[in-house]
Amino acid sequence: MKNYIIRRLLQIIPVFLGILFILFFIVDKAPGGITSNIMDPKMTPELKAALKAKLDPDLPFYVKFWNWLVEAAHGNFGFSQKHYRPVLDVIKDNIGCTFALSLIAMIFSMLLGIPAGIISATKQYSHLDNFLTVFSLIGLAFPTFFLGLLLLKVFAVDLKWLPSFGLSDPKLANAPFFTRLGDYAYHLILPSLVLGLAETASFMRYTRSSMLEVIRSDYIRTARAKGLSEKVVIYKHAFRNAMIPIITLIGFRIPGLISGAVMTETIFSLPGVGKLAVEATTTRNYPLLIGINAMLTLTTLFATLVADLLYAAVDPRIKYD
Amino acid sequence: MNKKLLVSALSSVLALSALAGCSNPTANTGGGTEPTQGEQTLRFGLSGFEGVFDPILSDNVYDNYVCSLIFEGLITNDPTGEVAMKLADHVDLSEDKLTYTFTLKDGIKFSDGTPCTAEDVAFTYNTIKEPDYAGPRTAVGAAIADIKVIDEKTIAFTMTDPSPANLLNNFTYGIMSKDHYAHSNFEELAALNDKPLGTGPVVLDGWAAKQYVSMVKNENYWDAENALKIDGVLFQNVEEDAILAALQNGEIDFCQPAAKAENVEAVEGMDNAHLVSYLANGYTFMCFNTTRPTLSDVKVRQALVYALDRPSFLQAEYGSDQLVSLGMCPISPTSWAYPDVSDLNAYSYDLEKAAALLDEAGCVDTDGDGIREMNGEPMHLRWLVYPEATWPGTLSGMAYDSWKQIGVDLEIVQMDFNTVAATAMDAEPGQKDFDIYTMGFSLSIDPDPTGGLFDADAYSAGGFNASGFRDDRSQELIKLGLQEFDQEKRAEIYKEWAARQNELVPTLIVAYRSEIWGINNRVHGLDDIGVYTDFTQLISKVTLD
Amino acid sequence: MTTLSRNEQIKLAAKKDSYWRGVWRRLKQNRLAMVSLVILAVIILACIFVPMFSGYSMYQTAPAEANQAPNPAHLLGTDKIGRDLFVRLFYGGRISLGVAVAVTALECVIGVILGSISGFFGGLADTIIMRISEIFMSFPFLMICITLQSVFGNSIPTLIVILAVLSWPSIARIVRGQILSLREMDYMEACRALGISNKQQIFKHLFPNVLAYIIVYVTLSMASVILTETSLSFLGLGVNPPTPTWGNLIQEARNLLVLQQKWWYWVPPGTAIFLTILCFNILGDGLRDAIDPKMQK
Repeated sequence: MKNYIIRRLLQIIPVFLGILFILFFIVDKAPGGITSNIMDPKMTPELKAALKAKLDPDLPFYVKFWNWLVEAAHGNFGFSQKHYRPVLDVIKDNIGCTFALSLIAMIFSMLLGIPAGIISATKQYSHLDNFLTVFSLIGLAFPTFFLGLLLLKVFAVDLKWLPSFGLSDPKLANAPFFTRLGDYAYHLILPSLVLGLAETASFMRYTRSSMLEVIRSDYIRTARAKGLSEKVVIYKHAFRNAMIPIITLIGFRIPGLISGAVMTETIFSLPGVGKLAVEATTTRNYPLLIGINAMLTLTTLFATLVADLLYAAVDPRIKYD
Repeated sequence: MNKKLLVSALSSVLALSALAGCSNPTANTGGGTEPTQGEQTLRFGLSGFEGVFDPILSDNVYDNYVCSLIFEGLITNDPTGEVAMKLADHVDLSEDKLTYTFTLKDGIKFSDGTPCTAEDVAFTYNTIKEPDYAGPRTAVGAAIADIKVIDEKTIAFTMTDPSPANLLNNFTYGIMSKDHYAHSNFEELAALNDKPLGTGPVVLDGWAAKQYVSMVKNENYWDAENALKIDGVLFQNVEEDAILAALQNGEIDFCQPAAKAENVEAVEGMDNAHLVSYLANGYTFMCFNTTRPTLSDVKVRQALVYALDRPSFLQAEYGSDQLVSLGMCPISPTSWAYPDVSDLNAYSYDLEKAAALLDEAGCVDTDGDGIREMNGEPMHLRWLVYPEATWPGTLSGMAYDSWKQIGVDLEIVQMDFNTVAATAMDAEPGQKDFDIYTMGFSLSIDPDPTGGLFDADAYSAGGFNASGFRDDRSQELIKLGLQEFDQEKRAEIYKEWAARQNELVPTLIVAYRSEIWGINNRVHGLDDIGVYTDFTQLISKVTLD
Repeated sequence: MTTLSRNEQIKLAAKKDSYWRGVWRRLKQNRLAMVSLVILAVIILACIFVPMFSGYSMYQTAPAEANQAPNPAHLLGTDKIGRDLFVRLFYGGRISLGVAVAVTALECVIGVILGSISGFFGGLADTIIMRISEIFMSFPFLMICITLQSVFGNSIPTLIVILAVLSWPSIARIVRGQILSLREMDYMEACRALGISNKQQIFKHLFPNVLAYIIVYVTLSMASVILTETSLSFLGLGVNPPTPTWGNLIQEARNLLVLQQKWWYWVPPGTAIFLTILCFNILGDGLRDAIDPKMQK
């Protein structure tokens, strides 16, 4: 097991470098550059070319790749040409919201999905099971942006219960910490609901099948045979074992949540890395694009690793050597 | 190895890493000081400011608005688009039309109370001319050959080339404080982006990336007559999809939604807000690649335009009652150089005429497949559209149907804006891989077309003329227009030039753009917003209920 | 040589497909899944046949008839340039469903082959394939889409290839995981001990067991490709206009006025997407339950 962990950690390095290398290659092949969307006839081709040479010198992609690695080793992740600020600073401005949004959505979907999955499993094929299945799948069946717009129309425009945009109220920037925290939460209710609904279905389905499997296993049968009450059997014995694979699911979901937040961030006008990545792509702000993707890639790789390890740890059928 | 221990250890790592991301929600404020906002704050809903609040670096319409509020330039323009003085009291032009000498007004102060002198003006423009300057005002730096401070209030600029457009093109940018912006390299200058110091009526109070920019009244403002009547201005980031909802909710005071029929109808239907719209100084266009054998024939281009039902398109996209105008020629109706419409061809929708023109051009269906051929090449056209705006999709969708009826096969290719620009403009001549592309441009106040869509000399890699069309008389007229400093005579030159483009259609002007604003009824003084008057120029008149 | 009695033949045949019969029998018990199956069949048939018998074409514009609410001439109304939304809805369904089928088929081919190799042979092949799948899973989706679409041209085939190439790792991992756990089971040990060839092991013993999981994945993948298509349209990277797809049609809901008043722009495609995805997911869940007898009471 120890060797396996070390080996997997070492394997992250070539995969990470591989992704970055391909990324630099793709960026090199992508049409357009940082100056392509300057629409000013006074900017003659010569002036544009001179500006491009300063902002994004014309080097082979593998040279850029190497330079980036050398700089990154020194803690410099490049300069965002659109913002005239270091890439790291620009990412820092946006990462907090994305993490908060993903975390709330994750907790929300677990709180809804896991109990629903348990109930559904214990009452398989009942009307309640059917109802919960359909209900949880509703979240998955709406395109995110569409669901977001519908909820925005209902809760922000028609009912006026919740704000239609933003992360915080600028008026409260000087308010005490807990007031501000409350304000953030107030602004994040709708977005995390939208983001979390799709995840709820995943949690419910995984919990349901995991529970079903455990319920039919020998030791639960033994527990029943011992005459333990159904409640104790389900919640004390089955639940604890059924949860183990669910924990691994969290690891797999984190990267998807972060990159999947693009639509939610767009509909609810939130500062987030998902949207920042889209903007970096459409404006060909390559240093920023590489920076965000390097970060997301590392997150994905580590989350996958953790999920794999958890899985290996809990499933004795799989041998790792 | 103890598996249980590993499981719990890894789970807590997961939980911790997730918590670390949001343990401090204040971490996502972009910087600056803490904002203080009251009820008397004008709230502008917009999407996409970048946080570059530096008049010589900002390259984004909203960052530019912030700069126009915090900074002031030597000159500005009046509501008719003519030069008006701002920090300058007056300006003199030398005999050779090359040197502008500006004299500053008395008592100008930066918001920190320090005086603004000719040295600060020289500093601003010299910074643009520094070798490591890598910002969007490069063209201004290239247009100015020499800067000379004559005394504390007088400064002379010598231009590279004489041009009647020099004043408005180069001297409206905000003047920066020499002491505050002192720097030894470009990075140091850029580091001051969110610490602006200018002479304008507001000062930056605080901002958060992709959330808001908060500005408050400049208590040291030098021009008492034009001081702010409200407490401040707040820019709030609201994405396009939610902006009308925010206006209807009263969460923002005003915004500029995309000019299209649905948005006009939506704002007009609101109880708490009203619509202001005007014809803007700009157009949407459709560029033909005239280096293609088929499209090099003027009759083919004209036929395609005749077969385009533009009035129906305008109706569908912009609605009938609003200010929207059929595109005629590359000069906007808002300009003094706009020709008499009776001299121009409106290319009214006429499929028969289109078919006849194609026949005349020798473009006929020889193999009976319903698609015409010219010199053995089938009329198959590739039209690049971008999804960032809806109108290219609407127009091309109509063309797809009506061109099919005259035997022209259209392939619509959707690419992001930057890819369209790169394919049409950045590519080397001869490698521009499109038959038609559409885009919208805003124009500068001066109608000079040099370097633009219709200038044959701008047909190059990175140039703006992607059509590859050259007409000697048109080129001659462009040059004449820059040598003439009398506006009436200049107008005659441009009118002839515009009429030629209307006839030869290397690029079709599809429509003159309208701009619409939704303004909350509690806001007074913003309704004069217009083609040459942006809201920052009206800010001192604004009052709030 | 003795011929089998009729009775024996039937028994043998029954034994052969009893697995799939059992699956079907169990699926039939799941009323929700059966309802979904029927709804999906209706949607698919409508998408095939409605455009054939409609008097309108999906591109035909009629500015004079623009913005009409549903009426007898236009059953679902018209859009702002007068195109019939009824025919566009079903034509859009053809394309959306067609893309989903093609993407799913392609990703399954890639994923199953690589997943099987990885799971069965293990060792170096496994390490390499899993690292490659990690690379693909961690790719910046958007950047790849923009680049590939501009290099190969933005067309439906390009879109299909991009989506398939970026999504095969999931099915590859599922197949690999199944094979890994099946390999540890007694009967595979027996196969190895008996010296049965690799090829036979894969095709006769492993593949049928894995097939069940692939079928479940296919239904779920159909749903997710349809969703991905709407997301790509949202970002302007979907199918080129004026070709309708459900993703393209539902973009109209992004305008407040349309959302509030012109319901016929977005309710039909919204319902179509909603029902299709819901049904595919329920069917997928139902199949999963039906295929895995452990899940049965």
